[in-house]
Amino acid sequence: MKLFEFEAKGFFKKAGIPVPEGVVADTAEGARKAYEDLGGNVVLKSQVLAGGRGKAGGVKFPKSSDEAFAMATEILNMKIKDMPVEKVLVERALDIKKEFYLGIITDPDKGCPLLMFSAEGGVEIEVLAAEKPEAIRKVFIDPRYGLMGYQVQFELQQAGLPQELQNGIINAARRLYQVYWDMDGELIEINPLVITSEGKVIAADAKFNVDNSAVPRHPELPKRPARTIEERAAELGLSYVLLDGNIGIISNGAGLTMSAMDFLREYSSSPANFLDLGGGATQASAIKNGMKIVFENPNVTALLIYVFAGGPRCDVIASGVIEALDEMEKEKSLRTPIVATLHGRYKEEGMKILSASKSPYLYLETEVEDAVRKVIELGGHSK
Amino acid sequence: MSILINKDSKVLSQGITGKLGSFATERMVEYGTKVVAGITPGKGGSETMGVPIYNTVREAVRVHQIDATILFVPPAFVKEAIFEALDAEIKLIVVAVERMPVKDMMMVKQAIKGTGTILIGPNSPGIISAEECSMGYFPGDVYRKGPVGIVSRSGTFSYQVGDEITRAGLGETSSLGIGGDPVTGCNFVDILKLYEEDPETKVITLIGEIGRTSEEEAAEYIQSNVSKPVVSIIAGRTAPPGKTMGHAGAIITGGRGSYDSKVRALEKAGVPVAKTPKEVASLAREALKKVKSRK
Repeated sequence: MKLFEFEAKGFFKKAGIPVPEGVVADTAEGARKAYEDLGGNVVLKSQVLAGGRGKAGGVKFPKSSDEAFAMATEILNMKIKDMPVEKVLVERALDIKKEFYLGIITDPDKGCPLLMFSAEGGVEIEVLAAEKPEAIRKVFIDPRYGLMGYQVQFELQQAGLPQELQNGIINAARRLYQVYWDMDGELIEINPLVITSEGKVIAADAKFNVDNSAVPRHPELPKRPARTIEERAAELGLSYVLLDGNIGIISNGAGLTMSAMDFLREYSSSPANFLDLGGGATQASAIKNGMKIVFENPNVTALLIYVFAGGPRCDVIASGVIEALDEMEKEKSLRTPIVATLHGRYKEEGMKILSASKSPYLYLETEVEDAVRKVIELGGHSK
Repeated sequence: MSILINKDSKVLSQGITGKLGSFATERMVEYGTKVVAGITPGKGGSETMGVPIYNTVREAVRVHQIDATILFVPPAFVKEAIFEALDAEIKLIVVAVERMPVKDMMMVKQAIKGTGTILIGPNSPGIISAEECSMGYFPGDVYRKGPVGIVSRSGTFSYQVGDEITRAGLGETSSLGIGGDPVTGCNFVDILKLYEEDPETKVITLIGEIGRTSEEEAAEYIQSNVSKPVVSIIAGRTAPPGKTMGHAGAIITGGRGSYDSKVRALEKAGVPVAKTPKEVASLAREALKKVKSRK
């Protein structure tokens, strides 16, 4: 789960990490009032769950309350990477002397938390890692004992940081680790971590993603309705990713679904989506919901259903397909051919259920290669 | 022969009366797996599918010899269930559960070091030794005894590849899924080592996917430590960067874990990478022919 900057800063503040004084507004009028309450000298920052907002014009410096109103109007009407901006953070502008990077991620290869520090703040860490990896100092943390101050101090020393700056950063690192650990962080980042001209350490920006598997045990996390089709699918227990091709895919298991995408590309076609039924494939409702989600995308010209049942049963999945087909034909909403190929447990029974269907939109194939060829033949290539 | 489990392995099922637990345990028993006991706190003393139930693992190991355990408990309780199995000194723990918090797994990973216990998963399809023993969700019909050892990050995709390998007339020793989560108990390298030592396994099939760097590590290991031929396929060749593809571990970030980087590493180690499951089966067949002609 990704948190907005203002939400992340709320948690930072509670943990004792200094953040700029600020107010979050969801209207331009609110932004004007915040400008006045803070007495000017502020920055307006669009709140959006995507990177690159600076470049997109989502950060502005108003010089008057009227300008704050005008700029906030502009920001609140923006879309950044297809995400509409719903809120603007009005924050005290900082007198920046120096910028650093401080972040913690879960390192998959070592299986432990990894703290990263760089004296080159403000640059995206991925860019830095690619172009100047030696500028990133790393501390691997034993999760049983937590972050030790000396580990950070040593790296700051190595990075050539003057002594008088070290304590403030070590403190921020300790507290940042506490937030990451207590709240099941997956990634937590202060970029930039700012030293002001008065020598104060402040988290100017904040990025915080929580491990999705741990969200249920954190009631303190914000509740919000599903915004995107991906989030709506997730609420139904489906993993969905919208892609830019024209062949819809429903499969079970992440690897198999990706392999279906690769298959399409192998035959010079391209997928409209990734949809993994996941563990929910044991129920007929999963595939029904999945079909509805896939057909919401107007670019889909044909659908491939490719299931290899280990736990689930093909006959259960097949009856889900039939139920969805019946409903869509009753609504006369079905215009798209569907090619199904079922494998694994009860595949004969599953294929039998499907072959009993009289729907002119449903095609069956026993081999996956044939199913892929068929779905491309029926769906054509994307424009 | 096979790796880790065989027809004599005595298996415990933790969470045996839960929805997933009873469902999967039934499949395992059907396959011929010797499930000797189950755990459900509060249901100790009763029985299901002819298997005695205990409240705690410690009670079960007092009565039965247990070689391996498989966990079907809810995500929030997986950490405790693993510690319970570790405490009882069970040497093989299979975690099939999806959505175990990564933080819990990080702690388990540290705790397991030096115990000699092997942990498979979480979010793993489990392990099957063909026609002998199944721990997990495998479609048993797919597998026939044969010379190919399979290790995979995904579940269902490994069934498809296994199916092609069987249909190519080869068959398997074992098939094992290390799990699709960001942090897993064992990695490719741990399993490659086991296949290298298993006399029946003649060819190893490695099924990777984008994200993490387990395939790159595996490639490095193969180059200097594996004498048997390894063939491979990687899912996610066409996945866009920055998007999580179903598995929390299947994400390309900042150029890390990309398809190209994995293929480069594997090919450098002499491991051919197929584009389709059928192709990987024929690569395995060719590799096997070469092994035979060498003798």
